Amino acid sequence: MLRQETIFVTGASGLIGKATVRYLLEKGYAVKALLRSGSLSPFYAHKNLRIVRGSMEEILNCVSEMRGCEAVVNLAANQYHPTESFVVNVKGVAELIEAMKKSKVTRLIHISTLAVRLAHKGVYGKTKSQADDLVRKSGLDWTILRPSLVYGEDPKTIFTTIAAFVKSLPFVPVLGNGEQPFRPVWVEDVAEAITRSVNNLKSFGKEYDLGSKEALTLNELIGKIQKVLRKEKQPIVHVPYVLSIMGALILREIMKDPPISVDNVLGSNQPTDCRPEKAYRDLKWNPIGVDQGIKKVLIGDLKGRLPVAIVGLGKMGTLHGAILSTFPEVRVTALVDKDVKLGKTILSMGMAGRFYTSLEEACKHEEIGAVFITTPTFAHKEIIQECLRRKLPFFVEKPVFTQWSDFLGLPQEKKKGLITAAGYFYSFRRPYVLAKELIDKRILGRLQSFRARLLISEVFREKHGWIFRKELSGGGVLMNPGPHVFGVLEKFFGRPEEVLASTRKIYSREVEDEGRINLTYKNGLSGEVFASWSVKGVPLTAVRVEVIGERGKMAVAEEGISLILKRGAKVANSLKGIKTQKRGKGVFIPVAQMPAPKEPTFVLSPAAGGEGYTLEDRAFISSILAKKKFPYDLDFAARVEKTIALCYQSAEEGRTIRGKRGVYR
Amino acid sequence: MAKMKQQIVFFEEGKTLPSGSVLAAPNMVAYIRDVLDVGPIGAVVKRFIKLPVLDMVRLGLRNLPHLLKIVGKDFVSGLLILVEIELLKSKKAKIASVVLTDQVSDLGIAFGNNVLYDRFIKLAHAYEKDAGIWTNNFKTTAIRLGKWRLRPDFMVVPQETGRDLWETSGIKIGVIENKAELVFYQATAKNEERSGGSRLLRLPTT
Repeated sequence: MLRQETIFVTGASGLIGKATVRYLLEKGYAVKALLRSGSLSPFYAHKNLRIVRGSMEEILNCVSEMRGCEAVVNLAANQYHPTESFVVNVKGVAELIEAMKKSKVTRLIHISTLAVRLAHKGVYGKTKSQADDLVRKSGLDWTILRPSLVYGEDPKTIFTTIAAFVKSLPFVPVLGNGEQPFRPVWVEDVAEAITRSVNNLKSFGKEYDLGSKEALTLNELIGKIQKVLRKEKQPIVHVPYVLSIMGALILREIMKDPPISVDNVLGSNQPTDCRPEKAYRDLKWNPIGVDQGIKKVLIGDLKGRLPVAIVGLGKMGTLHGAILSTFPEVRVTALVDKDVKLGKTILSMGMAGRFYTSLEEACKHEEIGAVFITTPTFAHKEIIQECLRRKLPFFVEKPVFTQWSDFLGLPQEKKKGLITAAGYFYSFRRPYVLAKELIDKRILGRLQSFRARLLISEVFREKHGWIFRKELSGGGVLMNPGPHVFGVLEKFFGRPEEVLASTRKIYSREVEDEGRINLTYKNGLSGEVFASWSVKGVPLTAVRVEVIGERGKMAVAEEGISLILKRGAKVANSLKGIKTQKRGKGVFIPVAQMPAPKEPTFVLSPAAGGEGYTLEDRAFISSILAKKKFPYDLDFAARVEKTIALCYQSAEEGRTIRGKRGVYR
Repeated sequence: MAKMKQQIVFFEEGKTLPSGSVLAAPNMVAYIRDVLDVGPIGAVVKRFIKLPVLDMVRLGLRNLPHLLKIVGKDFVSGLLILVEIELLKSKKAKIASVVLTDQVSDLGIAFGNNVLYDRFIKLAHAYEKDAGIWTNNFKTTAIRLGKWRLRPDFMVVPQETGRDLWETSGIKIGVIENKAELVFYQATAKNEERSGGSRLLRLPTT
């Protein structure tokens, strides 16, 4: 049931603030979240959430916003700055109390710190201690909560700093001996305790420590983080206490936002005596264990997510890795590449998963439910065979093989029933999807001819990468990026009967830079294809297909579809609801006006067809989860690559090649 | 709503940038073209050696604290060197601000790499330029930056991005209206409810 109570939350953008706002909303409260002017809201829109712009320095301006609120949760704090800490933590609290009284809000949940108990307090402990006194004497219905070390997903916490050290350094520096016990508590549990105390009469006028059931030292906490991140052998280096204090003082002087503060050093080297039992009892609060919490923060909730390995961490591996990282139903568990340094770079990008130098090794240590093969073409064969051997669904970038005969070498019995995909992402780009629909709905009537172009400005002198070595890539522009245009033609018209091709080397020594192909189909359709990577003025791959039918003609390209229909020809139903622009004798359908994907789509590089990659990956993952065949699978790839193979044969033999029955599979 | 037009440009070797324009950095299309030829490190070195000696020294000194990371092929450190080289090479053009290109910024958001944005904003400010983030996924990016408590000076979004989303974000927005033209909008009090002196933004519901 939706409650109508509104809670005013200060410090809403902080670690605890973000979790508390979310938790309150989940529990049906309405929330007014105080954020500094100009800061970006960390919250998705919610009908019960309102953002109030302001700050603790001018909290008295928020009186009218507070009016009618059930309670105020004060999470605003400045932890490090010698003067600003006082302004926010003490003066701000005094004015907050005044604002509450003016707005007739009587309930205050004030978040303090265990640092107030330290024998030698830093600026945070001192100012929070003064603020606690103000709260006690406020005459409001107050509750003071004192969490131990709070951990969660936030880049600016001690926990995150330690985790970053574990991930990136050869050792973990610890300020002092790291032997003081404390009770680290998961931020979501703190948010729950705050929410539970809002209407809990028992908690009025009381002070509670918030901590986990398990007391452990900093050294032990680091050990647990290392265990989760599989860095158990990493040494811990203890920096002597005095040196740590001096270091923190220096950092404070030279850095605006130091990673370590004097308060951190003081806090981690003195006992705080956290006693959370009263909170467990009064608030009926039951925080999760530290091991479980650390896993949730560092790895995330893994249940029900498809574990995926990415093999090949170059440009395409990064692209698919980024897309997969945005899918809630997927978790990347393994990153595989022979190049260890490249692995390090990819991990430094923030990609999830552990690095391995072979798929075999990854399979030994990780759970893997699907594989994305994004290595150079020459390395595909071995990995595909490994996937087939292990019956692992896989996606492989196109072209699949350097020579078509490799398709014939795949064990049919292993392939049967296995979900596979080849990276023909043009099949998912809006213009080509709509064009196929229009062709199938016979908007052009019987098809007569077509003209296709694949152009990109890439080669204007001899180049040296693997793509330019025939034994490694299988060929030039027809193999890479040629499959884009041949994939579109396969999707539109199926397989050709006859192929007549010529190729030309302009700059490259081993592979062709240009290809001209005539294709003839069974139903009388014929067309020509021109592919070149040596034309100027085309920075991104451009695939344009003009189709002529008995009722008109259509041109499809990345930016949209042009359609000219003969007088009397009826527009198919599929154009209904799509906005068209008049252009010359016909109409133009810009890509933005074409039917958008149903689900929100995270798009990388839209100019290069990013949406197509996302939709392709989503379709493949959905196929695996639904155990359904993927339409652009290995068999589709075999048909496309057979056409390319026939082009090479024709160019070499200087004659028309007829595709024999049975050679396509 | 205040409105202002500026040109958005990519750095190209040998091309003069229009004064007062917004530099989109790094130019990933040009970089990837070079990577295919000379590899990722070679492409950076190729750019570095074309810098004047003084700029080489400046770049070296500024990046000294990140030396270990650079040697270890850290993504953010390497990428920001590319940005810095383009900033140094654009000195004469007196560009107004620098925006992190969408290919890179969307990648960083997908991977949850907050360090990229933090260091990019600091780098732009060190060169006394406004720092912008160009994204094709405005909602996700704005929320993630908010979670990380990072605030660029402006964000660049494609025209298709829902106006209701960015009008209420409270940040200066540049919308790409033509291929190379940015139209800036700054949310003003008209779009915000004023209440008791504090500014109240109503978030759009999804």
